Amino acid sequence: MINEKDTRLSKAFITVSFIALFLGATAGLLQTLVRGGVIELPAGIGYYQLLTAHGVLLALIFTTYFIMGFLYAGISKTLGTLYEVPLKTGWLGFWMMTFGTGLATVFILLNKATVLYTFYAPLQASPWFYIALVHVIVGSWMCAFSMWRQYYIWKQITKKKLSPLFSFMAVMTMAMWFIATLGVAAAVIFQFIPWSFGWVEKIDILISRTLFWYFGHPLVYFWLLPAYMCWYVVIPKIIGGKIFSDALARLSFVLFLLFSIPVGFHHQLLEPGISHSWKFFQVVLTFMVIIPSLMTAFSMFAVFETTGRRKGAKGLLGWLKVLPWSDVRFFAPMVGMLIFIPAGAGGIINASHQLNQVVHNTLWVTGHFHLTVASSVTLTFFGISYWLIPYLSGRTLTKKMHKLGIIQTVMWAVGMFLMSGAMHLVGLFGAPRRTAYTTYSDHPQAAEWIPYQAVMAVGGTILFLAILLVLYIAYYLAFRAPKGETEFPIGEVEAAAVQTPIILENWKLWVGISAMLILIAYTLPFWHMIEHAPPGSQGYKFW
Amino acid sequence: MPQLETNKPKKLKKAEKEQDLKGTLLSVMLLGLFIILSWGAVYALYLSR
Amino acid sequence: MHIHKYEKIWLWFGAVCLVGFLSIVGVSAYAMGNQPPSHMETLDPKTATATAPFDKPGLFKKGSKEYEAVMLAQAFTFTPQKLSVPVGSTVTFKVTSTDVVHGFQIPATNVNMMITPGYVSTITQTFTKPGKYLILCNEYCGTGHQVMAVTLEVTA
Repeated sequence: MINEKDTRLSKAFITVSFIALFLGATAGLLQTLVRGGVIELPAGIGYYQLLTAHGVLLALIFTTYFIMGFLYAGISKTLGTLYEVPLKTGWLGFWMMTFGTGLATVFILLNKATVLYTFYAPLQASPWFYIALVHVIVGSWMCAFSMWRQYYIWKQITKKKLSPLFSFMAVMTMAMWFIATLGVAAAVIFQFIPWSFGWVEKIDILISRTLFWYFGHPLVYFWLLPAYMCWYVVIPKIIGGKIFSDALARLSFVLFLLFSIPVGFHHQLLEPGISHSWKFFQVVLTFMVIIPSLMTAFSMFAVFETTGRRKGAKGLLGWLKVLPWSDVRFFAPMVGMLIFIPAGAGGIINASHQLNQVVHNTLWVTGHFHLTVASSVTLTFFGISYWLIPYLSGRTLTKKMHKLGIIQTVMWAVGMFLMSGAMHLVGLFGAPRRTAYTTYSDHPQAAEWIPYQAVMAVGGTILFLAILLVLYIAYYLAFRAPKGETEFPIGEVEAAAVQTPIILENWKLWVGISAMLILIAYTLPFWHMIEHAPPGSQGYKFW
Repeated sequence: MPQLETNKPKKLKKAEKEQDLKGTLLSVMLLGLFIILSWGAVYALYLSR
Repeated sequence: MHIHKYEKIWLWFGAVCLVGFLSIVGVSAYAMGNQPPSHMETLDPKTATATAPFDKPGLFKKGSKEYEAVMLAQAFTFTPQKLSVPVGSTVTFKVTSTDVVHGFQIPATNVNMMITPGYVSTITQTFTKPGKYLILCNEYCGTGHQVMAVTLEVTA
């Protein structure tokens, strides 16, 4: 059983994450109805204000809080009850992040920060918005320090060379997060805050964008890695199987640390001031980060097949039939995994150098990350919630909730198929993302996009209903379900699997190589940006 | 049969394991095919424009 | 470290695919000149409208069926607002922003680039089909972002 004190910390994070989910989803529903031409917003609420709230609350807050709640529960489970310093530091992190989240939400609602969640300069929000962001980032660092400390104490006491797989992955995820957020923290602290307070007049735009995207790509892996943790560690246990290979699981996380960061230029492929050779170099590194995902795909299918065969499944694909499809703890993440197939394929297209010209800043991209973060990751997080919430609340997952969860997952898949499918298609036709309803003065091309935007609204509405359903399930599991004990499923490693080489847990080595790759990929182009920088820009508030 | 097992338990186990994952190989290859087709489709669109 | 035979096959297959993709875009970029727009020229965004060639934005004929379009991106329009070229023309767009970051996209073509204040962005496109093309901003730039578009007419 998990310690009561540790439960509280995890519960706090998960509570805020679900509040953010509700608010962000409400904004999302309104946006899709506006863009579909169904409604017009009442005066005083702007489309782009909603878009800012949607992005900040879902992409940054919902995800980060859920991840913290999940990782803390898993660390407490695998490394033992949190020691005093890690627990206190964890709470410090929670309150810093929550102060930042509250402050940011207020300034977005006051319409003082309608700069979207990417806050590209020289659009200039209130300085308090940037101060809020710093609190969220630094608060998350406190959580990282706290988890690392727990891991360190565990190692000191047990004298073991290899830590449990879950905790290894948690430490790795936070290591990647820390290295990545250094970039965005530098931009916010050294560029945006002095500039928005008026202490300096101008800001260097390209440098701020480069620092943002140095963070922006590992950000997507920060969402993905906890989902992978569920796939690698939790799912095998749920389906009654074993982890395919501890060593390969760790290797894939090592590769994510190495290759998810020095690749930010593939988000800046179409902008001036960065030479195409450095862009191509980072495109090559981006392709390296596909490898661990290919490894993961194989591992997952292998777990399903070996488990199915052990249960007596015959034939080439007979093992698919014996998977526990009616167990929502499996079903929701499994649908997430399947959706990751088109999501991953889309990602490879986005990163393919000049091919990016076809899709950049079109609705294709919006469709893409609604498959990755808003389906693969989100459905996995929902799948985790179905056992994590009762585990924390000392209750049980009932049959009825299993059923509702499965309905929720199906609704999500259908809604997302409509919304994201329409976004992908109309994006290929050229419809831009992040744009309110428009006919471009009745231009025939724009008129062709409107029906697709209507389909997006239908899909978006189904997704919103699915959110209401998952919120009800979460509420029921937290406060209403029958009391009892729920398991935190942690898989065991296949007996025949090879021993894990200790080198995979050599942090100095991997962090060192990661730093080296970052220096190689960024030093020269970054130096060039500084040396050949044009005069900076003053701030603009065009909203 | 028991004799065979005592003689080469390791090899047999391994051979059995190697056979186990045909469905996995098929699944990932289908996945690979999907990636190639979608990439090719968008590349064709790029060339046609 | 032992890796299952099929996993080796799969990873090799994946690696060959990725190298294939990279080779295709690499050859297309370096041998055929299809690089993503990466112009390095800079200027002061504050005085851009007084700096040549952006002091006189417009469409200029550079040869038979060759044009240069010098354009300004400003919240919430492009200047010039109307362009017209005969079919089969090759147009080089030279664009800068005087205020925030904008996008520059012509749907149904490969014209797509970011316009960053302080930098000049260029891209070249040959228009083989007549019609009224939309030039639109695809990066959020403020409340009027959704109306930021002009037309390019390709006459038969």
